Amino acid sequence: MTTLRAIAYARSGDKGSSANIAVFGRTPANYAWLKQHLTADQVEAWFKPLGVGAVVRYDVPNLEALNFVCRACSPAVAVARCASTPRARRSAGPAGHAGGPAAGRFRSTD
Amino acid sequence: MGPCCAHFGWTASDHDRLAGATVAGHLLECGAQACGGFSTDWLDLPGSHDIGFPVAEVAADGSCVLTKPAGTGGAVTVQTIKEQLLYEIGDPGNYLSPDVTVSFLTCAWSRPAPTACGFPVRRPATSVHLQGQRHLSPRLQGPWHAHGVRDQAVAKARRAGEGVLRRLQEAGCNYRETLVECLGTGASVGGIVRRVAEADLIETVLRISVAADTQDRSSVSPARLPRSSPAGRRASRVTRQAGRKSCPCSVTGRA
Repeated sequence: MTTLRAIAYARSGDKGSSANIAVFGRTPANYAWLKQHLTADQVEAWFKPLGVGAVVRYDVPNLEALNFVCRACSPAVAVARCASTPRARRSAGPAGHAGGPAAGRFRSTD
Repeated sequence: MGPCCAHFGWTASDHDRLAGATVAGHLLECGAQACGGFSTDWLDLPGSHDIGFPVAEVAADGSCVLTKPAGTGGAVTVQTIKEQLLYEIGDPGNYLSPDVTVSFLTCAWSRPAPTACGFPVRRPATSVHLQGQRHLSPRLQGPWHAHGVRDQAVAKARRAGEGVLRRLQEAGCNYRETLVECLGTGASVGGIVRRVAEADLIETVLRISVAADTQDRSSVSPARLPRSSPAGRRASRVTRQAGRKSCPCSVTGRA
């Protein structure tokens, strides 16, 4: 069985109420496969249990990448979920600690 | 952007050049991440405890060469640049900035011959703040989140923890005890409860603890802590917790 990591690498991030996940093919053939099979609907369905809304896919052929943007990753969802799970990658606070207002932990610094 | 405009005399209508400088700034923005500090393949990079910060040599046409200081860890590769280029963005065809809207859909790159980086290296600052808990005995603990891709969560967390301790030791810190724990692996109940297979964990919390023989505040490296590793992105901010006597500990480093 081939793992996803064998054919792709990825980078996620968030900005405001949006989160993005960029998925890159390791080879042109890998990218072609991803482009055909990794749809926005699939990504949206995968993250739906986290309260993530509609997902848009942007194709970036020159980087052999697909950029998935989740625009409806609302702050409310983020705060509720992010006590130990950052919205996309941000881990601004220690897990499980109650100190400080929750919203403050997700203040963007960059 | 500002230094480029000042140096090259660009105007607000030099959109292509401004776009190039915007891309350079976007790549530099998150420091060591451009050199693999947040890469999917971070575990494979050399010197992950001391990843260099990127340097962009911007040309008059707005193109740039990305490199890093010699002797630092990490790597500048097509992969690390591509990863960073699509970091925290929305529509890659319309990257918004106050100066220009940039399309990443026409970005191209080449591999220049490796050359020595001639940029002046300044001495790092002589102090850095690290917050943690100071207990009655001189010890310091700080949890980090660690998220990995499937079976790599614990491996990345442990590597990050070892990197932090290595940096502290290289800065002259001597501790009586050090401990790197990956919570969720059975770290706190070792020998009692059967440990779970680390490869089965999809996330963990890294906890680093040190204990010293003196009451002096511990010293930390004034140089770059491995804050851009996946697990050690930033020194943890431990605040007061209800029902537990602890206080933020401000730690000053030696020059």
